[in-house]
Amino acid sequence: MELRKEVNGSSLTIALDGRLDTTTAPQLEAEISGGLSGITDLTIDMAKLVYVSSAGLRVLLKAQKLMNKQGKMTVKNASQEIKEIFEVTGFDELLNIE
Amino acid sequence: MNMTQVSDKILHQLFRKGEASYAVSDVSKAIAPLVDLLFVSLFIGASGVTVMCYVAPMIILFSIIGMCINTGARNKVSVLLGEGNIDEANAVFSASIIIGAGLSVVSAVAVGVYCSEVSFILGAREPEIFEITKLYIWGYLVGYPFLTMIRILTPFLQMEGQYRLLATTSVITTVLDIALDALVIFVLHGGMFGIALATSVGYIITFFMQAASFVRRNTTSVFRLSMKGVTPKIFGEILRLGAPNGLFNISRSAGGMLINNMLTAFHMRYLVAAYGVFSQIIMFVTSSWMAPVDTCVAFSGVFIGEEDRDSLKEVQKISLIHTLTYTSILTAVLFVFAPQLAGVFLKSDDHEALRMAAECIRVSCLSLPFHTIVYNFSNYLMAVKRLSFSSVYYFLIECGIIVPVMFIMLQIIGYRGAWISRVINMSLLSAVTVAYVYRNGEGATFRDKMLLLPESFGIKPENELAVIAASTGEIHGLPHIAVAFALEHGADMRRARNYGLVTEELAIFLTEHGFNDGKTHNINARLVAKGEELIIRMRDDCKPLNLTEYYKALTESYERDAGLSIIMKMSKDVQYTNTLGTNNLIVSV
Repeated sequence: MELRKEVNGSSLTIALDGRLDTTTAPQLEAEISGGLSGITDLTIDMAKLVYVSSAGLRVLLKAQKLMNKQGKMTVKNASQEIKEIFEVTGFDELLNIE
Repeated sequence: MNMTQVSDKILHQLFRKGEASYAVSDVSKAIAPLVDLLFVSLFIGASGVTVMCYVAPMIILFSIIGMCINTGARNKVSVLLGEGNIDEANAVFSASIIIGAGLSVVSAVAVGVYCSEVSFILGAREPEIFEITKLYIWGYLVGYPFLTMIRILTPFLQMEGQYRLLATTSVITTVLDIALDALVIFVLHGGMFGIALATSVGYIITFFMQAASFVRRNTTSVFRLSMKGVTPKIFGEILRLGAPNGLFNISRSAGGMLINNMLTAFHMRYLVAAYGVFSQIIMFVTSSWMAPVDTCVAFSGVFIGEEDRDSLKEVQKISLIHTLTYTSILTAVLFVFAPQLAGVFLKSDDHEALRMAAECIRVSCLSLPFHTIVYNFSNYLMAVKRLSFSSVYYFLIECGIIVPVMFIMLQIIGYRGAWISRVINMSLLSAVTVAYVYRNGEGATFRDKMLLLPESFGIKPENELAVIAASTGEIHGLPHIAVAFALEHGADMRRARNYGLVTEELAIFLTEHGFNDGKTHNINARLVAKGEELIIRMRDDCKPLNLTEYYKALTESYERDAGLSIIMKMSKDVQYTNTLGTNNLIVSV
């Protein structure tokens, strides 16, 4: 999975390209664990994300919990298939999805 | 090690577990009557032994109920579980217990009421023997219904993978029987009634121990005390599938009586006794080769239900190799130690009697390697529901060939014809087996023909993909393989992704919940395309883990249970069974 970051002051956009599964979720998790200091507005751009499994969802939830303490997180441009997974797992109520 | 080798390795491990359990159980069952015979012959005397001989045919006939239902229910349920049809499997399981209990209680009461008449028919005519026979029968009848239900429960315990419980209860029964026999003889002076009652008490305790496991544990087979499942259809199906086994026991009784009469008519001293020595030895050692045979049948039923041709072939091969190994070792041991064994089983100071018995053992044991083919085949016939030929075949084993062959051989070569006829019997049956397989089996190779299933049976290789994973790291490639497999078989991208996702979540769930006991485990995933359906079959050897029950108890813990929600909500159907000590999931996406 490719991961592109764009920082704009206290806003961070992470664009995901590929699959967010058991193999690649640690990559995003490492980014979140180390890279949210001073960020008040996190956006996860899923325009090019083709697949997410529960491992990925866990990392997204971890990110959401972190950002709830220091600002907000938004998930945008998720495909219909990804949104379906959010609905099935109840994550559509936990994440702020645009 | 490639995938096929790993899969075979898992199968071998499972087979050995099942085989060991059958062996311990069967050996324990063989020891108990021998111990009873020993106590009776040493401390009660000839009258007690005579009574046991008179009652033996009745015990053989009584065993038919339990053996028929045991075989019929096992064969039916193993296929249903392999198909994932749990409700019907439970209906058959429950019906088999109820029918077995009902029939055995009715027959026990009937024999108990007409005990005098039964004793007379069995041959107990002298007044003292007559009275002791009645007492022995009554003592036996107390435990008979429980013995019937133990026989019925045994294959289900094996299918649940309760090998340790089975072995433990078998050993406990034997030890208890010995202890109670000693108590009866030395403390209570209970005679033959006490001896029979001691055995019955052992059966009662064993039954409750085994039955408790179906109540305490989260088993696949669930008993419902309801007459709903006892329908004529299920009853008829159980009896139809178990009938060959019943015919086997009837043939054994009839064949035994005919042979005894033939040998008696030959008018040669010690001939019947010498011939009987090998028969007694066979009763004791049968468990050694029947353990792999019975294990093969249990596995075969499940694999037939799963349409797993390769596993079916492998389990047949394992059984043949193990059976041949055990029978070959036995042949060597019996041949070398024939004189010593003759001395153990034939209490006589007459050298001629011992010489004949030793000769009988040495010649008859040469028939044992042929048991490999004969008993693997005869039992497998019932797994594939070739019931008509199975009935004929059982008749041939115990009566149809050996009786005429023995008659001819006795005329041609004299008394030695009795031992040689055993070897001729088994080798002729082996030839019949090979001829039948060649004529009726389908497939390019003899191994394919041996399955006795249509060539179309099983999933075509291009519609199936097997993947083995032994750790969390090894499952990473699984979803990619699943997506590619689905696309190859006509799924659109969305469905293929869902298929890959469900496969991944299944594997993660199993590794997270099942791999955490510090032991080595394996997940065997079979991706199957069957018509329009895309199916994931997962088998693992972790602790019992019912995913569907786990989901029902779900609380709102999104982090923990997202994967489970994905599996349950994105699949068309999820079936869980626990068979042969493994968790089995059949998921349709």
